[in-house]
Amino acid sequence: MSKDPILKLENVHVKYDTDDGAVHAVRGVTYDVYEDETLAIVGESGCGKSQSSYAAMGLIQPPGRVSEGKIWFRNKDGEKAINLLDFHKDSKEMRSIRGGPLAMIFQEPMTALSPVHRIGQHLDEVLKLHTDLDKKQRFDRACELLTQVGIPDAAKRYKQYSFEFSGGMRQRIMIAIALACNPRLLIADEPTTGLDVTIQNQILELMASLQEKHHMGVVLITHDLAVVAENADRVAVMYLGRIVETTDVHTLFEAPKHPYTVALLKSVVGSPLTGEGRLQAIRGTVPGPLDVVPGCPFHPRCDKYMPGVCDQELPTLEAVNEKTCAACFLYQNRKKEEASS
Amino acid sequence: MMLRYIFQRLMIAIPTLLAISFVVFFLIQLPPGSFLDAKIAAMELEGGVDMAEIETLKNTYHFDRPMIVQYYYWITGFVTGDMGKSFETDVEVTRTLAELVPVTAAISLFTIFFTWSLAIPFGITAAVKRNTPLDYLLTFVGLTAMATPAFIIALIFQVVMQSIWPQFDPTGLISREYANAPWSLAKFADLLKHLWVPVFILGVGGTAGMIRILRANVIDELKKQYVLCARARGMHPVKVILKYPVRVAINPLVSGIGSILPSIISGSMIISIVLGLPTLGPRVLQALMSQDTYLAASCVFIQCVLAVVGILISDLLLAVVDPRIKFGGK
Ligand SMILES: Nc1ncnc2c1ncn2[C@@H]1O[C@H](COP(=O)(O)OP(=O)(O)OP(=O)(O)O)[C@@H](O)[C@H]1O
Ligand code: SF4
Ligand SMILES: [Mg+2]
Repeated sequence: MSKDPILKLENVHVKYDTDDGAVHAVRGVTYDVYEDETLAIVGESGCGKSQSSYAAMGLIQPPGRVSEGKIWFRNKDGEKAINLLDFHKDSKEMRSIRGGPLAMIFQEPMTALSPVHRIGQHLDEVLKLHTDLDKKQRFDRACELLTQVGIPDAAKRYKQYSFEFSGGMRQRIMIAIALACNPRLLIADEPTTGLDVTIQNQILELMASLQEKHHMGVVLITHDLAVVAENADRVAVMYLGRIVETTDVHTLFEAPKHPYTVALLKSVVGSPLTGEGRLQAIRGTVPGPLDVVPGCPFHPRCDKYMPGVCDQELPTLEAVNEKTCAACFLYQNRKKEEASS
Repeated sequence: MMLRYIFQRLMIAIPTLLAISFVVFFLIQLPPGSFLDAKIAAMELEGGVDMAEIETLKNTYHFDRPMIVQYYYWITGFVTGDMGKSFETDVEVTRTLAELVPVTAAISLFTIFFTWSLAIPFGITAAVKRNTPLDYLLTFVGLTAMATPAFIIALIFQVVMQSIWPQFDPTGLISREYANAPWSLAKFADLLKHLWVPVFILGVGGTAGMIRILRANVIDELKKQYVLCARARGMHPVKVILKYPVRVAINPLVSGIGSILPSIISGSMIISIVLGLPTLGPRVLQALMSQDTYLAASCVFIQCVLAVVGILISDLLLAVVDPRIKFGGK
């Protein structure tokens, strides 16, 4: 593993200016991803997992914008990282990174391909945008990619339309498109949601084998703790637009620190390590996007809530030990003493 | 596959059209009395009834024979290209058509061109810039234009033109000096000079309607996942919009071309009357009222043929532009 991260988000904020006021979808997200590594991002629906990765891709659409933060991307090992936010999201520079060295696959493979274009045209498009290959070379490369993601008879399949493929096949095609230009980093936003379990496993295995081959960094966004246990190296837990805990995958299940993480793990029916791990509701409700919670955003639902401390200030993400960082006053001694005194 | 499908459809179309032709002929004859009765009555009013002329008319047009026989004479003539003469003017139906159809079709085609060339860019703009002042402006203008009947637009137009440009004559299509001249380049140029008025008046409502449809279609498509995916491939956002959502949203317009085929030769009746345009619509109306059977039946039937052909064209185009649709539903 190299020492420099490929992608590093630093205190990234995403805001939507809506008629009802500003929706603060992402409220300071910080994480980094290294070569050959899979970082899983977990959290309840609406906590900003997708929005923070869209920010990295330059895909936030008005009325939304990245209002704060830095997004460092290192195209080649040893090279200096560039802050993607220095470029306009649709500038030539950003477009050459997006889909090339920084690729993304999405939830909902059923609608990810244009219904009126041949699947080969999608592959051809991305190759045309990011390489100098001529028509014939692009066709060969497209067929090679299709074969690589497990679609037999590639030359024939190249000419077919998306409705002629199943959901699992379509997600394979999306992976082929994302991998077409040998990305350094792949963001996979719930790549297996909506697919049945066997297909899910096939897709995740395929991603793992391709990662090994190309030494990619992978950001794996998911709801599913079983998927995390199987595939991730490190995990970032998100709550209401913030990262509340980062740790490696073993520590996450063995010694979770943040009360939200603990609740999240408890809410899983069965053991996450044996599969079948789907999230159940946690006590209390998630505050609306426009509500402002003073102090720790989790305090209305927290079992370890310390009155006078947790509702006063916002806890920052700090190292708890050499493995874990958590944003919780329980692990910040100065604050804890204040509470007991 | 496609050829076989076209062949099948044409095979079905022939009996359909035969049935339609019969119904058309029958319906035109349906009102009590006939052209001949009216003619005799008119002659009586004028003084004397010219029995010889009545006899000739009777013999040429088989007025004394049962309707089914008259129909037989008309339809056999029709398929061989002989549509008979107008009872009223004694002019060949084909000549009347040759005179009126080109002008009517020119107006219709230019109107379609006008509608599309405005509606497509504005519709896309309204969708992309939805809920911005620009969109609201387009919506306001569009709804106003849609809600105003074309003949009112025509009248307003005339009044407005009167006050700002009194010499301009918005009615008619052909200047007096060319009125009876044969078709020539100069006459065509003269036609073009007048054409924009009816094209504008006829096109406004349709343009506004099409902007609404296109806006809704494009907005629907913009929300789809494949648009985001195309952006994520690094394509320029403007290109993405034109290549994917617009391409999908425009399908219904393209395949809708077939269904406007019959209206191309009929033109708009009311506007033609208001602006005094020499189009087929008013002529057919007149023929229907005077039971000028051959002229009326031929024109109405030609439109029916165009309608049937138009539907076929629409179905074929739909299959061409949208790969999800297969010929013959298989
Ligand atoms: N177009 C938008 N306008 C306003 N707010 C938005 C918009 N898109 C997203 N948001 C806000 O961003 C928040 C985070 O959304 P995001 O899609 O990142 O959640 P997520 O964690 O990916 O959830 P899920 O697991 O359901 O995919 C949402 O709660 C929503 O309030
Ligand atoms: S800071 Fe307080 S309220 Fe927030 S998670 Fe930690 S203990 Fe709970
Ligand atoms: Mg999401």
